[in-house]
Amino acid sequence: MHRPRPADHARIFIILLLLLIPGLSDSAPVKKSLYRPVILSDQNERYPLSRHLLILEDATGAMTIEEAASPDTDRRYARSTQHPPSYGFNDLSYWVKFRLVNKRMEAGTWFLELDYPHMDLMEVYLENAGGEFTKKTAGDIYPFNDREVRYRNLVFALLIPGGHEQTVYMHFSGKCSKQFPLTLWSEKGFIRKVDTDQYFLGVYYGIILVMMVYNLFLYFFIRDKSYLYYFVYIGSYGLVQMAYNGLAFQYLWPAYPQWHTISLPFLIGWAILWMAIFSQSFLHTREYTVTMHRLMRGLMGIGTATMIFSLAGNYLVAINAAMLLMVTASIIIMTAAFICMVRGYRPARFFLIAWLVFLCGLLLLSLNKLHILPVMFITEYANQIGSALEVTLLSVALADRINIMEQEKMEAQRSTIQAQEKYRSLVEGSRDIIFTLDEKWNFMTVNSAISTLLKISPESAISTNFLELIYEDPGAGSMGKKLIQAKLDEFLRTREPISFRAMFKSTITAEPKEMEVRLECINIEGMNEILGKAASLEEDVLMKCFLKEKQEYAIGNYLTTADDITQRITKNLSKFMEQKQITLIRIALREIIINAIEHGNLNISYSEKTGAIADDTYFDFIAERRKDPRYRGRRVCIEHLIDPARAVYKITDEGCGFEHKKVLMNDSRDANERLLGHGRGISLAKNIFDEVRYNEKGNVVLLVKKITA
Amino acid sequence: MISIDVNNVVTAIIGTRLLNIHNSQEILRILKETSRKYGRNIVIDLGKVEFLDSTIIAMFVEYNNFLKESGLELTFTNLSPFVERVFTMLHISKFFNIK
Repeated sequence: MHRPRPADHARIFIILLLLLIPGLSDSAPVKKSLYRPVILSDQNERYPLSRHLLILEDATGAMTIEEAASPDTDRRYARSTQHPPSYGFNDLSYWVKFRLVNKRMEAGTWFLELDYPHMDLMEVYLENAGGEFTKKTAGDIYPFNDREVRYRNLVFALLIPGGHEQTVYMHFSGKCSKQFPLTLWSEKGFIRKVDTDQYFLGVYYGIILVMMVYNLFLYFFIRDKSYLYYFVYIGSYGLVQMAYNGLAFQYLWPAYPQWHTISLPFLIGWAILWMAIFSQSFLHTREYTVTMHRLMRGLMGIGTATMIFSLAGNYLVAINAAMLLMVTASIIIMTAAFICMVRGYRPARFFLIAWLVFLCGLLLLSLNKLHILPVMFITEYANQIGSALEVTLLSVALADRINIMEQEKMEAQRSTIQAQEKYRSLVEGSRDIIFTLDEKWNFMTVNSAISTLLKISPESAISTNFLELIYEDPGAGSMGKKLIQAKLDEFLRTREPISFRAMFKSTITAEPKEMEVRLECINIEGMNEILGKAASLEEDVLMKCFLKEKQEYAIGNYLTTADDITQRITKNLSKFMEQKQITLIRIALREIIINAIEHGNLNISYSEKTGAIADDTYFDFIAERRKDPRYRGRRVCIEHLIDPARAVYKITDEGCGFEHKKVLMNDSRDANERLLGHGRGISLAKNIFDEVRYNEKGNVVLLVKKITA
Repeated sequence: MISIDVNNVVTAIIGTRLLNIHNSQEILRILKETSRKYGRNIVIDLGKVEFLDSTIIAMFVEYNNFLKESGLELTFTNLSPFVERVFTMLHISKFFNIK
């Protein structure tokens, strides 16, 4: 099987860099004559074998150890041009040999390690004193526990006699990357190496685990999905690392070599998927860079496809796709982070630093494997150090992001409080009553002007219903409680702002106060509220400039409109007469307009009206008539003229008219004598106006009031 | 809306400022209940009433009819200048007892 080793993808990152630095590559050809044996002594514990190896490609794969060790074949061995030798992914077999000279006097066990845990099959041959070869076998096609030395890398224990010189033959085969990073360890050296390795990897995976648990807890406390994505991403990344360095096969699935062979591309696809999800969530790419956001979606798709392909498709394609995906994902994510940072998203800084640290780790490792940097702790474990720092820095980045969000939230709260204070001072400083109501007309807030204007404290007004403050009886020029209720219902239905006059109670004993009310619907944080203002009636300062007016109105068949229109068409009379007289005119006009609506447009007879009033169904009855297709299109036309000499009102309905002559002649005395319950509106108008004249049909009435100086 | 004072006569004091169609039926109901309860002549105190419309006059006419059927009388008292003027204009002053 084909599997990568750390230097594989690291090399992809830095290959261009290396090409720019001549002489850095360690791939220059070496003459076979320079081949020299490995000299084992007490001074050294570790013997890298790369430069001591002779390699023979076994094209047929059928060569035996006897053939491989024969003098004829010996000439065909060659040194590798690369250190460590690497031939890429293929299904060829290779014979590899090295000579060793044990200068120690006593026999000892030495450990031959292949630092590439994904080799399918590795056989080691040692010639004994009788000239026969003993063979040891290991590889990841066998269950892990079948290994002679249960270590994540392939390791063979070799018993080397003291003062002995011999050739060690190795045979490698299988469908995997053919690379031979071989090391020979003394017993002590190997124990120390394993100790260090286990210790450091324990710390590394401990960091991964702690970060996982930490971020999972943070998710449960903060409920920010970035933490959950990060938790899954770190877990995936940890699994990739474990599969990559053989620990997953050692500890997680030792009995399943077949899964082990496909686990790496599958887990890389899985990790890329979550890395992209986390990065999108963390960097808010949808807001800062839509292109990168879409590219990350592409990464998710390819990551998922890689997972599926690794399970069902060609392993070689899957692992190559996974490798390529890692490089592409790194470039896309770092570019996205850079763009987000440049565009002002502060949390992207730590994110970018974390990724740079990770890449630095890969760079160090690669330089080490290319023998540009010496073998040191930091270069040997640069991958783990880099990724541990990345994981930690990403956690810091998340915390920083939350911190920034908190700061922004606090700033927003501060601004809100300042705005609230500003508006509170504006509202509280207003001389008008400013209030909010819920949709059942209960006061939610009200400013202190209510105590000045209505002698009611704001505290007691809260939880009071708006209609409770309306004076029981509509005053002159104001609306009655039921009419206001009707107006409010209409307002709730249409949600259009309304204005009307209403009489308010001030206290139980004080005089009611007439005020101009304006209501409009507002939506605060998803809640519908009603914003209202009630203002004292202002004296019309321009009234003294009024000379004359002539206007026309056409109104529908609403009694509330009759109230409103009488207000409007009598307003300017105050220039010429006293308020008491204007009130009488309003009442008379109201009577006539209501007659035009009820008996004219809506064709309601006196008996029908009387019956509806007696049943207390008067308003419902009128509402039904308004819906009647025969009447609903009708309008009352009101024309009026006011000048210093007279006020003239002409009211026209679209009804059938009535016998006005009899009514005008008999006036109210007839109704009184006959104890009738109706017929007094016209009589009232006759008494108030100087002239009341109907047309022949009885659907047009002219009312004239002379104005005396 | 209405307070009832029972002494030698039953006095219904209208406590509202303006009477019109929106409260006429409620007032009529209270007045009729009062008459049924006490079975005496009724005095309606209009001292606090400043405005009324024709519907209220119609209501008083109906109530007067109701009382007459029981042999009882209706009297108005404490009329404000405005109400007095409306009564005059509608020529009902002489059909009701007004003190």
